[in-house]
Amino acid sequence: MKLKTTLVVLISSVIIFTLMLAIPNSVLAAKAKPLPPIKIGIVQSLSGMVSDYALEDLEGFRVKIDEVNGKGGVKTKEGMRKIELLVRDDMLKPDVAVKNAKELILERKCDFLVGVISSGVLLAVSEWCKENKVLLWAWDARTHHATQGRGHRYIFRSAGDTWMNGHAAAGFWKDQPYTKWGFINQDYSYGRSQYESFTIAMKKMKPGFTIVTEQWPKLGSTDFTPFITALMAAKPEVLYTTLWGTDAMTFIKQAKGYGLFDQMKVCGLFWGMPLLRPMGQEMVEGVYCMTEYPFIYPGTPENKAFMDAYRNRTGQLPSDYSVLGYNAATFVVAGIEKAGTVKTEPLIDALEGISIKTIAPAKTITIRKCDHQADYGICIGKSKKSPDWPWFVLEDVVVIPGGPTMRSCEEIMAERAKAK
Amino acid sequence: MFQFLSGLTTAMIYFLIAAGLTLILGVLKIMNFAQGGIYMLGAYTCYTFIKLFGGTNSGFLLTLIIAPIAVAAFFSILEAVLMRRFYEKAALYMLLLTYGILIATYDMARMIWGWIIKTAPMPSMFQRPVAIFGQLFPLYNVFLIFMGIFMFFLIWFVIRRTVWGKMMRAAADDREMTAALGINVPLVFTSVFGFGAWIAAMGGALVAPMGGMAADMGIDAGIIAFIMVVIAGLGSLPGALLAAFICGEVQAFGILILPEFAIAFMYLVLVIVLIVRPWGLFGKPIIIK
Repeated sequence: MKLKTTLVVLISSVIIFTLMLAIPNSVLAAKAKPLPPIKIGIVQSLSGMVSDYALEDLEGFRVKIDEVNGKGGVKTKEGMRKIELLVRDDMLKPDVAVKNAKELILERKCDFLVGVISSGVLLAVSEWCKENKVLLWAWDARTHHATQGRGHRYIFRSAGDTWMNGHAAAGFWKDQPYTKWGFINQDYSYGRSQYESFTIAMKKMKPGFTIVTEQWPKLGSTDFTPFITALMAAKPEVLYTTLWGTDAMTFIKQAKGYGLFDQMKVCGLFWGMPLLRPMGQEMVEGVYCMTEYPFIYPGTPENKAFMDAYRNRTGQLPSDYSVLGYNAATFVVAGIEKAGTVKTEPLIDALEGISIKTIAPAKTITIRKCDHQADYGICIGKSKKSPDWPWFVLEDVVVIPGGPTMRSCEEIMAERAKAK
Repeated sequence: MFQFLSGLTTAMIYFLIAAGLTLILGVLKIMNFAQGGIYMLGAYTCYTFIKLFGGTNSGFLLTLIIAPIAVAAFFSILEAVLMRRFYEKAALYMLLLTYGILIATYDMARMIWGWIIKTAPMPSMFQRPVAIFGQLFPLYNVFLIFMGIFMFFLIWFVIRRTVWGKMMRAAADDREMTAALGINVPLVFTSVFGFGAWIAAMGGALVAPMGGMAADMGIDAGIIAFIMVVIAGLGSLPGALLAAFICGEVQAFGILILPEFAIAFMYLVLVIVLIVRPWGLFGKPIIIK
């Protein structure tokens, strides 16, 4: 008997709930039929080693899209159109990413693709987009080959690439009196290309530049102690590293115990918020950290608004990655508004040479017409304890503009000709 | 000499990761893919307890006692509820199950601890180096090397010198005969799995203050554990210690000579051992009749 009553209550509540859901739908349907939304396909590695950062890219992108949709959408020739995102996880695998790209474009009829955090994935998806004449907007993956030798009409990138990162770092260090350098990078394509671009730049800019030691731990190491003692035995004046994620944290904590930071200067690429926040009070003072977005600098109202919007969405503060996503969305929306359409060819024409304002210290970013690469600047500052934050902040922040660190259009065209 | 000590630290981390797997493999005869996940949960639980105790020294020592036991208790229940049903079935089912548990622990960590990478604070008593042979060596590394050796003797003692250990070995040799003698074999198995989980979680907890942690840290650890177990000879504890020692030292001295090949040294040891002694350093050759 009791079971029967429970069953009746359960069924009736389900019915009531369904009715409640159905009512707003029918009210909406009564209104004038809105234009179909613009569909953006997102290709991103939401599982695997980089998934934490990949989510931050995506959330930053969503903040901008929410903002635009909140205002009724993007203005096109046909009228206001909202934006819809279709997100697919490539699990860090190039073949899965290409399958996702196909599905998003051919079956789900997305207008273009945005995303990609991994360099390997980017080169694969980019190849497919080139063959099928699909616009691909890369927000994070950094291999410079994607817009240099293997670049083409259909790929754009709003993040700085490995070439620019290395040249920006060299531009800062060439004026410092240090010639003996040590390196520790993860042994995979990103670590290798960052090493390559920095050493190429330093050899050009700094007379007497010598490499006294280089260490290549594998990606995702649990232990760095032998590498640390080997680095210290070689006695470089400065250590340059592009370790990231847990590897960077493990390295810093273990190197601290050995007193490595007292023996040499250390410069870490992308050691901003994504590293400083989880490190908390375990960070070391006086480390040269390079970042595209030192979150409290500059303290503009736009930055404040973005931080609030992002925190409302995710419950945490934005990092470099969130801003990369936000920048990408800002570019795409500006491009659609300028072109008045999402048709690939006119949209590409509109995006070439387009500029946006960014909340990052780089202030404005422009897409260069010849290679579709953005001149996104980077900052360098020294880590310092802060009374206001539970983690270290950067002081003496220097903004390095992106433009001068880019490779010339002639050189890039020569690379592309060679690649063919 | 100094490089030797660094290699020893690496070796102890490898041993702590591999020891639990060795035990479970030796007694229960299952390839526990979830071992890396247990290690990861050990590290995360350690992080939570350290924060809970306010990052004090005594808090850290208390954490080392509580955190691994908490993780071990969780996995003992899992063994009793889930894995017990699969011992009699084909080995493939067990592989799939433990692999499934590995993936589940990954998502569990992300649900509980969120998607920002974390690090446990280093207790203040370890935040000073000691001078060894005129060079500074972090005190925590000394502690870790000590703990590695301590864990080896503890596990060895439990297996060789206690009644519980005798029951384990008996159940490993012949399940039916042991059961016929009135020993509750399923209970022994649960306790072995719990003990193996405790060792892995202890490894995770000990490594936690040394570096960063992310939900996928267990995958790399799992690979290391398997390599150690294969080099050692399946289920051999002294073998696991020796394998960890060789890999740690080859890595430490290898990078002085050929830094470009750092990634390859562990696999090189594995390949050489597989060619010379395919059954592992301490294993017995399997004779197919």
